[in-house]
Amino acid sequence: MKNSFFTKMAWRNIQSNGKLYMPYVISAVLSVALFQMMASLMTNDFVRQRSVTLPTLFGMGTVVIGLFSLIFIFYINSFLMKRRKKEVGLYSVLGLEKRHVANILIIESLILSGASIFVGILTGIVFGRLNFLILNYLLRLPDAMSYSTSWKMTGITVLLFTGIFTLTLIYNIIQVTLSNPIRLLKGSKEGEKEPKSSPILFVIGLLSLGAGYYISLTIDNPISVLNQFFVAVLLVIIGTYLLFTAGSIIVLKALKRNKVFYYKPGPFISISGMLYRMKQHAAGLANISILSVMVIIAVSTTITLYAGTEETLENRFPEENNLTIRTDENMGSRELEETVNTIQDDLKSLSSNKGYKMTDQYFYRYTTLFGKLKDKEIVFGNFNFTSDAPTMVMIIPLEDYNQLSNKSIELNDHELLYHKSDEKLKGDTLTLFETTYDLREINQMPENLIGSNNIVDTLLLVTPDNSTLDTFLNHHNNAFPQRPNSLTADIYWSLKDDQTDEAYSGLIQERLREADYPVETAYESRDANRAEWYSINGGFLFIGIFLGGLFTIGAILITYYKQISEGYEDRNRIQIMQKVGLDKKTTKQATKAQVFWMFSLPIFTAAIHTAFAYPIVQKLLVLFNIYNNKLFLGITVGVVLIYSLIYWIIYRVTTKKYLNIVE
Amino acid sequence: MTFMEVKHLKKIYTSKLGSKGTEALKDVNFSVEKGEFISVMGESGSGKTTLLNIISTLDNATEGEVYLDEQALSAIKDKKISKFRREQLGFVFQDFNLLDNFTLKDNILLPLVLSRKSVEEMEGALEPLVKRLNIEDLMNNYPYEVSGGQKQRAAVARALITRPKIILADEPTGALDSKSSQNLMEILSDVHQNGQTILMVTHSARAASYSSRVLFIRDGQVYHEIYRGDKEPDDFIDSISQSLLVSSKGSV
Ligand SMILES: Nc1ncnc2c1ncn2[C@@H]1O[C@H](COP(=O)(O)OP(=O)(O)O)[C@@H](O)[C@H]1O
Ligand SMILES: [Mg+2]
Repeated sequence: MKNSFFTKMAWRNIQSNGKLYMPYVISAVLSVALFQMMASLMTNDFVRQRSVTLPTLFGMGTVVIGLFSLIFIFYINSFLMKRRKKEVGLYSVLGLEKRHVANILIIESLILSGASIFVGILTGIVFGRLNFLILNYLLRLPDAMSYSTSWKMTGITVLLFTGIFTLTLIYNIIQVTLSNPIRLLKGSKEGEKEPKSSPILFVIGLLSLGAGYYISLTIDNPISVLNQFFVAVLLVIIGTYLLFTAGSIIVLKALKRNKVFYYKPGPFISISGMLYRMKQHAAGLANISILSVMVIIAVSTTITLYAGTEETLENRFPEENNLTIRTDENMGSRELEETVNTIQDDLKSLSSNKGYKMTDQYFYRYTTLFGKLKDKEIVFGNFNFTSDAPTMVMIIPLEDYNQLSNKSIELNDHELLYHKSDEKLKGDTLTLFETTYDLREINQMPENLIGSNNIVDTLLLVTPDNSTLDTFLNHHNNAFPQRPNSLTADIYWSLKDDQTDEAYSGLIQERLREADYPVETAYESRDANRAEWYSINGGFLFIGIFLGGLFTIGAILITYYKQISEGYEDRNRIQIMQKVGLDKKTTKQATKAQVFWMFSLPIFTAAIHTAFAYPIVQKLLVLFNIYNNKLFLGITVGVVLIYSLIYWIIYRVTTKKYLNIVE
Repeated sequence: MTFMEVKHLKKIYTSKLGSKGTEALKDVNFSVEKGEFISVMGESGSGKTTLLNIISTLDNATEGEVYLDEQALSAIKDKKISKFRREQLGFVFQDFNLLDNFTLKDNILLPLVLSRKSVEEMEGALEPLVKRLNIEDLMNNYPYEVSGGQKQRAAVARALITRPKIILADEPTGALDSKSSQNLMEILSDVHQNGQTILMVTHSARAASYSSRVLFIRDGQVYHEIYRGDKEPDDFIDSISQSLLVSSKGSV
């Protein structure tokens, strides 16, 4: 037989089954477009400039979307095949050989997947640009974002989806050639076997979910948070899939065993209906849940970042101006103090000469060493930072500490104050450089020190006087002459009525260049950083909303497909039941109950996931200097509510479609 | 006692395009006594299914009326119609219409569940029935796990379980082999002996021979009827075949 015959045949099939293929093609097109946009973002210049970790995060997102696409396309394909088996069976009965049938399938698949990939990529290109345009317009960020289609990523998209479609084709051909025509003829009528409940998978799911939650709840070191975050995400995704697939069946079967409950019109219809198709639809529900969590987290964190920019600035810059002074290892703390005083006086007179009034001028001196805590002793030295991270030890003299924290603590020569954010030190003495000190704990870190110490757990030590600090430093530098450490001083000041502006910053910078201080200076102003931070955080916000949009489209897609396909599956059942006396009202009630569960389950799951993800995400935000939990909490709750509303609207619309099909 | 009356029933299917439409029933009249087992015979396309659908309230007549126990079916309100169907009528379809996601037991119980009967009541009604139909061992099987004959017996059980006033069957043997057909007809005959009124559509003379009266329908009208009376089954088949032969000649 000639190929043109098969082509004609395939083409006719597609046309006559338009109703069946349309949702399939729409879903496939959007999957391709989603993946293409996501992958393009990974290589987008705008994204790359935001942060080094973002492309990695997006890489992971792209992998996840790729996996989703695979699962999703198999899911919609199996639905399609089930409804087409009869027709294929008919071919065999009519005398087409199996390889002829395979030929038809191949040509059909070529047409469909070719069209899906082509239209999908077009959609991705157009949609990506359009989204960026709209978002740029809506957010009015300081610098506009540009979107570029990455041709490399587009190539990868084509390859991936060609692969996925080929896999489904192979699967279909195997299915068709392995089964006999009679079975195929019965095809869509033959019910799937009632799913078996598997408690083992359920338990594994519980454990996996529990482990993911546990990681999120117990994590405390933000530096290691990124790896653990991925692990937690993976565990939760696995757990969600398993719980939905195994758990739903166990629950439904238990409900079914309860005769008094089960043998009532509503539960009778909806439980049997749900159980019947849970196997395939559980995956869909799990997908929706996970996409929803992604939307919520992407959007709420980036909104928090943006809304918290001012707070970030205040944490990073406790005063409007700060000047960091670095010395070499030969300068002692007394000498440093004198230099600082000179500079301070200098800047003060400069300011007042130019009509600015300084307020809140203060400074502190410190040094930072890396050491290892061993019981009641700290050993300093060279460490392998990758395998076991050393403790960062920040040492500051009592004078400066008292000034920073507005206290008047007194210490004798063999006493040290300490603070450690993650745990208390064991015992009440500490030995360093072969001298043992008594320890007194500080409950609260001075605010100025929090900003710089949030990322790594730091041990803060306060020495009774300047000379102790110098001694420590000398000991250290004698022991490690090839890597000497030195003192640093941070000077802070603000101006009356927030006068600091570009002109003032320029003035200071000019002065610092001209005056030949015997130290290195680095000046920063909150004001000069503001625009930059808003631009960075605005960029994050932008990306977050873009991603949120993508994931929402994904969730809509699955919901839509689920409703349509369930509609077609349920129609026959409902019609039979109506023949034997099911009335419209009960139909509505039963389908509504069923639909309600299918609606609220993923949203409910997403909300719980979000709640458990909250601590871990909060810690991630700390990396960006956001400590305002109330802000984050409020925004998260708001985003969950708004997202639920959007999802509810989607559900209303698709449910209407479902009911139209069923009735 | 007249139990059901079909009066001047007319049905015209109009297509959406507004062409003349098909006249499936022209003027059908007959009545059914309580406890009768009536077969309706006729060629394919003669309007048998249409007639049955109107009697089962699945479709509306263009003109005319069906009375069951003096109740005009078209007067039943839409809201009550499902309840009426489920409590007064029992259905057996050619293609069984069992639900794949229910076990045979749940399929049979469906009408009772819809009527919100208690579990005890349901199980009480189920047991003797499925014993009689010899499918009691298949209660936990799904429809795709049993044979056609067994499916149809389950469908009969579903029709009988509400103790309906009348059983309506549309070619119940149509999808069955001859042995299963005979078995099913024996069951229906047995049900009839127990006082159940049955109206069955068929084109098989053998199946029709189990009934007490056969109506012949052609061009949307009942043009002939024969009673079984005291005839031996084989004789009755002969008379039915004869009538069919006459009818096909007559239609030429
Ligand atoms: N839903 C319908 N719409 C239009 N015409 C129909 C419809 N159902 C049946 N008909 C027509 O009505 C006539 C009687 O059909 P039917 O009652 O199914 O016959 P039977 O069951 O005796 O084979 C046929 O000509 C058929 O084409
Ligand atoms: Mg018919």
